[in-house]
Amino acid sequence: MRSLWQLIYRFHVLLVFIGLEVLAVALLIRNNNYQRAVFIDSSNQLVGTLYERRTEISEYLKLQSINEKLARENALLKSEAPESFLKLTDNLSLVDDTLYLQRYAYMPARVINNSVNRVNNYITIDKGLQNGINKEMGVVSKGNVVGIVKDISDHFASVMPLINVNFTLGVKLSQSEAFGRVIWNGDDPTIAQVIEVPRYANPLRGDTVVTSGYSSYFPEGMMVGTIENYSIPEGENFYEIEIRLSTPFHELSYVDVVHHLLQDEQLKLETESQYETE
Amino acid sequence: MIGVVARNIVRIVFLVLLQGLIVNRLDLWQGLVLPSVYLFAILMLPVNTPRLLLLLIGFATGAFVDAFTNTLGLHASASLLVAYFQPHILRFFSPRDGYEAGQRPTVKDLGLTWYLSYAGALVLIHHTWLFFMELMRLTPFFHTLGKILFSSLATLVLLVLGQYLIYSPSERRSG
Repeated sequence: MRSLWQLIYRFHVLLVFIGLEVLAVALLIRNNNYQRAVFIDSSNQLVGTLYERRTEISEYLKLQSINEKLARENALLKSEAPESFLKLTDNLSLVDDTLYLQRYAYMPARVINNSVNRVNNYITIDKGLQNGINKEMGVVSKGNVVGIVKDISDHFASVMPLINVNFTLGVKLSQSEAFGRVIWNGDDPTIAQVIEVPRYANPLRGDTVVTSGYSSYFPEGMMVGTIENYSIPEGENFYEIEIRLSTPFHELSYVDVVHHLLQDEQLKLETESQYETE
Repeated sequence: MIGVVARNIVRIVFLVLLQGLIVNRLDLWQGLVLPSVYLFAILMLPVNTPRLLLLLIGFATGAFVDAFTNTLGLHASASLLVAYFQPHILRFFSPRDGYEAGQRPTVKDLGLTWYLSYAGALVLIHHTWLFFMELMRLTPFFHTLGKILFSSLATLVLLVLGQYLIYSPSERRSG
């Protein structure tokens, strides 16, 4: 007992200090909302986390019925909205001229479904066979290449956008006039790759990449993107070029379908000459 | 002896009022600089003050400052910490022959370099505790660290200024 008192006496300053410090901190936590909130918050973190998990699980179990209810409500509202009535009178804006024959015409279409985060992205538009849309037509948005019509129904069309790994299109670099092909590697929906640009070309960073006009889908000079990076691997004959796409695929809402009015004629001629040479 | 006690009480009251009524109103650098001039009073307590008394004075002084800022316990705990460490810091920075009788922890008695290290150490302890207790957590860490450094620096400058103010040539060692 005596040694205990001695011990206490030896450390009495420290003990009083600790006692007062505990008192001060206790007062701080007791009397101040902020500190109290933080203190309770951190000491109750475990309980809070458990509560949160429990709520998450019970909410998750209810999700299906909630979803069904919402979907039904959505469908009802949508079927009453004016957008769900299809206009059947859309016409191409054609121009009559005796000196110039119109080669391309555009038809506006609304994007009703769009994906950007997959490897095989597709866009659905609200124009189809009845509006004169056909397979293999180009789709652009404000002069920027979007994709090519792949499948078609009476009122809708499915467009394979540039950001689909199966997409490929002949392009040229505006400054160096070199030709290549644009592909997409499935990674970043804002970046695409241009391949088959020969070694003698001089790509420039910031140069625009546009449609070449060799393909029957798009008029010449439609924007594809701007060059971000280029390199030529050791011992290769072609550049590896990365371009930043000019089309904001994330936020497409309206697009234009390109009608190549002379497409049939061009294709017919091309296939005929192919047969002749074979 | 009574003179020393009275002088210290007056000093504490004056500095707590100065802190609570004027210095706390300063809004410098978006809250990055918050000087605690009231520490001047605690740093001025005589070298041979009994340690328990020192702790009580530290706690009470801080609690008075808290009364102004409505944060009961915050400055009390910080200033208590300073009061606890003051004798340790004094011993750590003691001159080779120890402190002479009647020597006070001032620039005049022990020199500017000594005062800067003595006050600097205690001010740093005070502000580190104060700002982390205020947050009760470690984030945002670097902003708090900046607050500690800049506020300590500002406090130190004000403390040194105060040292020169109270010892104007007209007022010779009075104690």
